Amino acid sequence: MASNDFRTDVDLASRAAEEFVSLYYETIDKRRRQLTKLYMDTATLVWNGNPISGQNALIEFFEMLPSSEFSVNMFDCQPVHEMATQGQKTVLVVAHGSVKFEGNKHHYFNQNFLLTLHTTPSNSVWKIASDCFRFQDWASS
Amino acid sequence: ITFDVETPTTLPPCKGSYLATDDIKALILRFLQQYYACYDGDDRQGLLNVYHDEACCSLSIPGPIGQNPSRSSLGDYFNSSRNIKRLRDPALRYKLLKHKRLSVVSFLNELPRTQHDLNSFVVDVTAQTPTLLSFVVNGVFKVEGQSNDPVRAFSRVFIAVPGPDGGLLLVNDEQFIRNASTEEIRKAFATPAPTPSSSPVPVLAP
Repeated sequence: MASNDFRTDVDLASRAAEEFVSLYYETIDKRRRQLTKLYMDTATLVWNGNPISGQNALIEFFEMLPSSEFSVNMFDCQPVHEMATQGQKTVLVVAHGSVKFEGNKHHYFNQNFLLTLHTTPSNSVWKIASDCFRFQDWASS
Repeated sequence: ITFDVETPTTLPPCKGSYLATDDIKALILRFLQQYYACYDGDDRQGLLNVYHDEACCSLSIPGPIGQNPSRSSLGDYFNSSRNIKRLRDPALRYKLLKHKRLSVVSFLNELPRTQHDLNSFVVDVTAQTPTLLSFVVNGVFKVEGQSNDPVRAFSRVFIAVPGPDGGLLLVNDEQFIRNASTEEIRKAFATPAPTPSSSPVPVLAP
């Protein structure tokens, strides 16, 4: 990877991450039923240590997850090295903030996503390949 | 007339580490013991052989809103913090993402000396393919060389490719650092660290 290409990848990662973060948290809060469209069919979520894999399991999981109000105060992103992804454009996104699930207390959380770019002749779209979510105080929850 | 529109309010129970398989667990535990033995040492140059030539690395701390707003207490990390939400300047965003093995390790080497509590570690495996292993490590550490050795908490994502010796070679490393909660400080270093000569012990919370 030449450094010019790296610079391009860094800028692309930033733009994808910025749009993704605002879209993801707005969708989970306000349009929960649309949320799993952002995930690949084979995506995996590890939610506070619970692994959930595949569209059907994700749909079921997000249906029973109480409604949420997320507030993100930090996110960072990196282009993932193509040696690891066999050439598929991939971005690591990490986020930190607070969330209030209905009927529950506020929690601070960390969340990490791997986003992959899927290109067809007509368009290209980023999808979540993996998602890992943890409360800061998970051990006492 | 009443309608019973039930909305869920129960969260799934929180669990400890998710390590996918026993083989991955063993691989990651071995890696973390070696990595932090070096990272917590006097010189982090030894990490050079753990990073890929083209590795990248960045660090972040919480934004100003939230429970841990005091920038000053995380001041050692403030200038390195790559919070895209607040950094609008593409040049600065680029500069704060360390790229290539030498700059990654020299960046890490300039961070404050630390002592990590391996018994506090909780690890989630987020993706595994024949060419990629991605995992998140959560835990606490002490910052050394400051008057009161403050305890910090971290959440760090490592993405690795297979290494030459059957181990892991890091291609991505993102570390988030925050102040530890009262509860985390109370529990930190409660279990004595294993001595180097003892047989391998489980270092992960259940």
